[in-house]
Amino acid sequence: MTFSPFWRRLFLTVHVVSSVSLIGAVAGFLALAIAGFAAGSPMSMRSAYIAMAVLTWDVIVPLAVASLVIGVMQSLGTPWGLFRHYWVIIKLALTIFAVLVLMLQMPTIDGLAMAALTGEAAGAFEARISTILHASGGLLVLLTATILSIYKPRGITRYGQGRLAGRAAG
Amino acid sequence: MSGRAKGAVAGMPGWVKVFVFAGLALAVLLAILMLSGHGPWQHVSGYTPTPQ
Repeated sequence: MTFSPFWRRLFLTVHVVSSVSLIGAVAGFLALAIAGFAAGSPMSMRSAYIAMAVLTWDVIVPLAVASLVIGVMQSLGTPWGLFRHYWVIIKLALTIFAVLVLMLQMPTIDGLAMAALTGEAAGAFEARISTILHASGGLLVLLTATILSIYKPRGITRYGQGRLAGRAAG
Repeated sequence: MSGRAKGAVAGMPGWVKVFVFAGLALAVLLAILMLSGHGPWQHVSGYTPTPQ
């Protein structure tokens, strides 16, 4: 199945918007994580960690899922395919990895928000460092995926070569 | 490594091999961290805020 030019552009637009917005949201998360870690008062720490939880649940998670789902749909509806080009496979693997790590981080983010509410966040040193490290790593992964989709480095998989040969023969 | 896997790796462009190597290195690092008790989830399981 191949999309018509209208649907192709629509899916591309939604995919680019969700993916680039996700990078911005994760950058905002990182800023809050650093602000929470460096906060001089319990009030600042509370604000940062509660905002972090809201940002994650209401912006980052929906954008991450949308970016992954729309990216897969878009690849299946265009000649790029999902397993024909190495850059598409690696971008898919990076996005799945980022979404999985995000889901695994959710209890920590919720725990920090709860601790911030009860004034106990200062004691959760490992969790506070963890949010900074994971947000930095996530940003790096998302930037790598973006660079891959812009440069589209060469390399066709065996499956892709087979499809191309089949199309040329048929 | 089997002949098929060797063929698949040989057919990959250099930049793909870099990503595959980095992915494998990360997987090994995570496995070591988890086995040593410092991996993901460890700080979560030991952290429970006191209910008010």
